[in-house]
Amino acid sequence: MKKYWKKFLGVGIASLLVLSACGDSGDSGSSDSSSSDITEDEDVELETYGSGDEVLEVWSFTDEINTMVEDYFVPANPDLGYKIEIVNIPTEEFETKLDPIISTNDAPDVILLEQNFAKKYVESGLLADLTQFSNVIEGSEDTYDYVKGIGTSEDGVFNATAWQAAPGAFFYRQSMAEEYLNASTPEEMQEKIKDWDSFIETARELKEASDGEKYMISSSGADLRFPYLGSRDTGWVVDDELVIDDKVYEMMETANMMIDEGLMLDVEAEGEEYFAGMNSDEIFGYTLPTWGLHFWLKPNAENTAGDWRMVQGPASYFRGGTWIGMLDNSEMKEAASELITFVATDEEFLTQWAKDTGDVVSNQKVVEAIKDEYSDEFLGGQNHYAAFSEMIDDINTDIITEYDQEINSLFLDDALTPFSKGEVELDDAINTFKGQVQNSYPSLTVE
Amino acid sequence: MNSELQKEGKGKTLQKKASIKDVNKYAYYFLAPFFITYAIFNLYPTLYTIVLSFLDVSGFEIVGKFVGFQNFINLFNNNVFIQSVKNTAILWTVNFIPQITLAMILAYWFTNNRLKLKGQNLFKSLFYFPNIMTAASVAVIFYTLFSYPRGPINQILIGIGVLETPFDFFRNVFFTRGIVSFIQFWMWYGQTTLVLISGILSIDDSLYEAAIIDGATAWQSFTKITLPLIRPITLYVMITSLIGGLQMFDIPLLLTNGGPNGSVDTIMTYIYKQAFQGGRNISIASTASVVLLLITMLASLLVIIYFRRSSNTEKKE
Repeated sequence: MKKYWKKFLGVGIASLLVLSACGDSGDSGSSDSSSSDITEDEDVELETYGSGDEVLEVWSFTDEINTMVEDYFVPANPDLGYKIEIVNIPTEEFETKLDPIISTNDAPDVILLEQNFAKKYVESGLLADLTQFSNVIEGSEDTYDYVKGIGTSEDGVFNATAWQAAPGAFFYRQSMAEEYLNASTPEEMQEKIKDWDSFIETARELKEASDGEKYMISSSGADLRFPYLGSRDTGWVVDDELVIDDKVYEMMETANMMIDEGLMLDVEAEGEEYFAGMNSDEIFGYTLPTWGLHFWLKPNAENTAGDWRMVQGPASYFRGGTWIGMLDNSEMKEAASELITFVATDEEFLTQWAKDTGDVVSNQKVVEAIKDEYSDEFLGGQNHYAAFSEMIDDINTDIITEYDQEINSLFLDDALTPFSKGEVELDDAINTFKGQVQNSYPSLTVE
Repeated sequence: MNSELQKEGKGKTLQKKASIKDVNKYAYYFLAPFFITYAIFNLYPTLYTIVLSFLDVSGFEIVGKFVGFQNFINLFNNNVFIQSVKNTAILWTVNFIPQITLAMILAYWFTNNRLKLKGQNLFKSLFYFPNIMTAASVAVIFYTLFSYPRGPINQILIGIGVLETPFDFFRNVFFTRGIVSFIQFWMWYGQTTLVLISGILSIDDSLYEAAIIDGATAWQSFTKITLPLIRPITLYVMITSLIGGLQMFDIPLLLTNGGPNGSVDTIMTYIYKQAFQGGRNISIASTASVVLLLITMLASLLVIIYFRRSSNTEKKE
């Protein structure tokens, strides 16, 4: 009897451990590909909409397209004549699943692309030229140039477009701005951080006024990296050669100095502490794009809701966003062009979509028409839509290359983080970074 | 009548032999699924990997041109790869020495007739538990435990006064390697212990009884009877752990993605990153895989030779 009891206990503990190991640690939904959350273990899902003999296969990492097709596209086109099959794959598995079959007959017809890897497929030569479809050209007339810029290859071929724009802003705490910085309106605040020098000066002012209890920003990898990269003059790679812009060096020095002087809390970008800071009274501001407001800041800032305001900050930039294109070897190109035209350019749909979701859409005309209707309680009644729309025009897409996803992450791991924390000298950091880039892309020239 | 019967009998045995021959060929059919599966999913990919290592396939390209041994030359001149080989060696050594030592001690205690430990089964299963958890969960647990600046370990150390300010464990090469090695050790020592116990239990009890009668101490019977007789099992543990260690992948990748400064990038994470990230250099990843295969074969061979030689010298004595 005793023996059985022991065995039972053993099995019991084992199953408890296994169960607790399987427990989901919960994940804040994000549309950013750089959040490589290892607890996420979703399976690939398949949904079919409409009816007909032929099938239009769509691969996506976001389920927004499912809503668009189910609630908008199919009702608007009741006589489709073909089925739409949407395969949902988690962002971090999307490329590894797509790449091996992309040039075979098993490839999907339409693919959705996260900005981080959009350029890789746009430059691959495997996507169809969208200018061969008159409906796409006509619809894209009012699409923001930056959206088309990302979707256009170096040779000038228009391969992908998007339904959303993702300009970035700087979000800050109104109460702290008033208490420590004498800035009561967003205009006054913008004046205080209009360029990097004033940004750093203001950070020092905040530290002194608060006796070092408040930090200007939370993380160099998130709050400095994107606006600095956005304000570069040259991209990472020009004519197959690695180029390190002056702004990159400036970013490294700024990050190092801000950590050194205690102007930044210095936590890991998108880590637990990064999100926790949104709900505490320790961090003054966050650098976030459109979707960052809805998916990251709002869900994580329950106690601080209503106290946030947004301004452009020291540099204009964009981050994330979803592009859509079709493969050149698809046999359903006409159908694909109908879907792309609808979700990315149809004014009626985009207006409705913007109203239903609050998304900043890619069509300038639609944005101009509806931008004044918005007011967000979370931002103390500030009109985020109008504010974002003003940030779109300055976005520079010439600096976006197909190498960005990998090089950005190598830069963060091998140069920005170790140098900003004072672990290595600048030259060593840059040399390690160069070596890693060469290792990842042997065909590039790295000097 | 008799002869007829005999004839019939002979006929029957002949028939029987013939039918056994017929049945024999079915064995091949039953074996075939294994060989077919092996050929498709194991042999062909292995050979194809070797072929790829002599081509220059990368990115979206499917065909490449023959480049001879250029990939191998580049690889041996690549600091990132050399570093990953060194890292793998360090991580394996630091986790294997404590692992085999502790496993040997535990196995000795559990099998010692004089100690007669109670609750053995409970402890055996407890020691084995870390191995049941998936690597992903283990990585998350340890990442959270040691997280900076407000992880539990940091708070405890500050609470008891060891640290004054939080310490970023995953920005420190020594601690990150230490944590990775510890996880490997912690996940596998239970398995190693069980294998060693089964090896020790297979030793004939009468040998120990004879030793006790001859006045041998516990230590003497361990070193003179147990250790030499579990040599084959120890060799097995060495080889499997060596192969497992050379293929160390999930924990370093999931814990810090090889950081800080590539200090826990192993050969396998190197292959993975080359094949699926950045320029997706399939050929370089294949070359590194072939090199890994060669390293594995060479290291296993060295271990086997070492074990053979030392057992030969003992026999001579």
